[in-house]
Amino acid sequence: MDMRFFWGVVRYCVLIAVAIGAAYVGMSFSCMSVDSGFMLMRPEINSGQAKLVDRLYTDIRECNVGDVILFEHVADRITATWAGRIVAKPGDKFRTESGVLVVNGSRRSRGSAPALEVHKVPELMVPSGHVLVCYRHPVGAVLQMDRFLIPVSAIRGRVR
Amino acid sequence: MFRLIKQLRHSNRALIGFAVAVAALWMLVLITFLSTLSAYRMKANYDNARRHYRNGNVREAINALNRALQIDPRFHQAYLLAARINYEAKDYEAAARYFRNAINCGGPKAMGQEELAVTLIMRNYLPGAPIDREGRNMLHTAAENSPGNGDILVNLGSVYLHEGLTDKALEQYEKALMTRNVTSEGLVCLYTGKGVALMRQAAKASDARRDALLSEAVDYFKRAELLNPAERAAKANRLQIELAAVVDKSTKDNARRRVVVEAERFYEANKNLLPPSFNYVIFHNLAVKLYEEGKYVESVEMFRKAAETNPLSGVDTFNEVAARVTLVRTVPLQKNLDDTRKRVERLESLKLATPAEVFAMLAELAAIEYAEARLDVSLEHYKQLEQLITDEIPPALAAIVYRGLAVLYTEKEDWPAALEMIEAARNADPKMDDFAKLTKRLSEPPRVDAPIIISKPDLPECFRVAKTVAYCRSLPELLEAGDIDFTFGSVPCVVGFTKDSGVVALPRRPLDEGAHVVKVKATDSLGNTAQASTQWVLDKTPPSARVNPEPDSTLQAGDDTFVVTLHDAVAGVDYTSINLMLVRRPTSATMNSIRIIEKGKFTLDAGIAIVGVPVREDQFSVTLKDGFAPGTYIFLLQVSDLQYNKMPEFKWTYKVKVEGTEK
Repeated sequence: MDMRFFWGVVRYCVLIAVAIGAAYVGMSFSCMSVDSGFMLMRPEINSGQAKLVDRLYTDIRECNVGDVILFEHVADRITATWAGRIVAKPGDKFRTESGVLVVNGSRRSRGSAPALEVHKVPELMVPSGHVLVCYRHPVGAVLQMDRFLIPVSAIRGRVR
Repeated sequence: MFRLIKQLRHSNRALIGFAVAVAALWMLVLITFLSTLSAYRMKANYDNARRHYRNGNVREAINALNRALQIDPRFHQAYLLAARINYEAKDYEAAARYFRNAINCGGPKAMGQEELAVTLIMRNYLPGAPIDREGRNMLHTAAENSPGNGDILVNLGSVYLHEGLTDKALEQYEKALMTRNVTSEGLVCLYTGKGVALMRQAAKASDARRDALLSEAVDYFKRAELLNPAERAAKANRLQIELAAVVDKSTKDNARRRVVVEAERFYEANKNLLPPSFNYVIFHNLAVKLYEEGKYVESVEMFRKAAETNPLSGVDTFNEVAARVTLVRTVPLQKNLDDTRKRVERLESLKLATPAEVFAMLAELAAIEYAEARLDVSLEHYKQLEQLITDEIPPALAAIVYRGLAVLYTEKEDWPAALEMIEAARNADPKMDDFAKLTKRLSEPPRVDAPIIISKPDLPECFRVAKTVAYCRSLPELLEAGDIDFTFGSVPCVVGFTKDSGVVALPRRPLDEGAHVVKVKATDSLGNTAQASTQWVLDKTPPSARVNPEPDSTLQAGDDTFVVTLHDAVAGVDYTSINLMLVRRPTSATMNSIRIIEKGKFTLDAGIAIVGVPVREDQFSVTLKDGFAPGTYIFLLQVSDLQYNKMPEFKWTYKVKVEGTEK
């Protein structure tokens, strides 16, 4: 075989592989600006930061407790990208007890879900297709669980 | 390669084969392109449908789905979306058709079966009616096929709950929770259903356990509300429990007014959150409770509020009228009459036809008319109500109608009917014991005043007795009963009645002159008696008269006065009956007659001034202004006593002469 022809084929293959890889990375990851960060989160995310997120992270089976995600937050018809941490998966039961979040019977450390901890939440199950997300939600007098139970369709990706 | 092509150029067979291969390749490319294009168009239509649906354009969404289904009639996702859109629009027939198509076209079987089952159930859903059998069976099948699907188990639990199988419903809900796979909507339904099931258990539980169960139910309702703040059923049930607690507490504290105030406050605070049917339930229950406690004023208000929240339900109007009819006896209705009239007009305009509604309308009208003192019309309506009393009418309400009739019959003085109605009311509702006032009045004896007896001029032996029976009762009825006895001493009388409630008593035999004790004894139709008596003297002697100068005396011309003395020892002179006439007079005299119209006063028919001056009680003097003229005067005096005994005509003559001569 002509070595010249061989290296030509190799070069084209590498080029195609690089193109495919670039396309995959482009589709899988994107850089998003965070509208509302979470100071208590590790890694700490501040408002206005741009984060690389895994866009293919949309399957509920891939979600794990502790993952930091960016999700769509709709308030007053304004959609923003907020950052938060998954604290419970579908089917998990959670409640607050003496100002501490309890998930599946195990108590989390105080401050892991500050917006929830100020409320008395009876034991609830995380619905299928949803995750319980803690984030820097303004502490309000009225508890709205739909602000914390985020549907998977609203997740934009996992922060890498 | 190129050699091969060169060889093929020389072979026709090979050339044909090559052409076919190229054509096939192009065909393949074309088919692939076309199929990709149609798939793209189908997907585009489906996406458009989803977008339209999200934006609320249901019609355009359905059109887009139909276009997608024209491209691929086995596109099960389009069927599913179309089914869900129709389900949302409550077109359950179409939704069921689309769900069936989705399952037949290979759509997700368990999910499709579950949604189809729910659609079938909703298609024929009526509160209290049996669940659609096909939907129920399909739900069971779906649960068997997909045991890990919590939503199916939640729906199954709800079906059991509807059928009153509370324990089985709770069991299904627990199973659903165990699956850890319940959607958000399913969880809301689960928590609400569990709360309702606990409420039902509480209704049958003992007092101690009831509070715990209700507390747990409230907890579940709160969970449902947390997951979906717009969930009305959970909120409504929770508020119902809380309201019941408010009412119970206020009732225990015996704070009558507070019950109403708290309920109204509760209603005002939550009226925008509660479905109308629930407001109706709140007020209906509260009104019934208040009515049972005898708080009629409050219960009328509550029944009215209940009727306002559900105007087409005749039950509460019916109940309100019951409370109102009861209330009529206790408080004046004047301030509410206008409202009541308007509501009756509304009921009439609705052309309500059920017996309860007609009953309610009539009762209300009767109550209004009673309050307005239009007793005849009210009685007429109460009589119609009496005709409408059937087994469907609660005995307590029937008793109220009977009592209304009793009151009206009393007003009408129809005593036997009133007594009969009281008895009927007591039979209908033994608890009804507020007849004391009525029966006390019925047991009162007739009030009989002492007779005043006047003899009649035309019937000397018949005596008109005025004011004998002053009590306002039906005299014809008393007459039928023959229950007024008059006696003059020992002489009984025949009794007659006059239009002006007077009694005419005619002694059965002539009375002797002199004093008699007149007794009147009245007995009403209920057996109550009363009597009164008076002393009365029968005078059969006419009055007598004397004149001075004596009759046939000779007077001197120029004399002008003579005195008449009347006497009646027993009855006394009827001075209005005195008639003094000048029968004969000299031609020179100008006077014709003297008529006495009143004691002590005289007038002359010829207008000649003669002034009569009363001397004593029984005497009067007559003075001729111009004096007697010479000649003969003949006077005639007519008089009777107060018992119409006429004095025989008293005629006398005076001769007048000039002094020293006889004319």
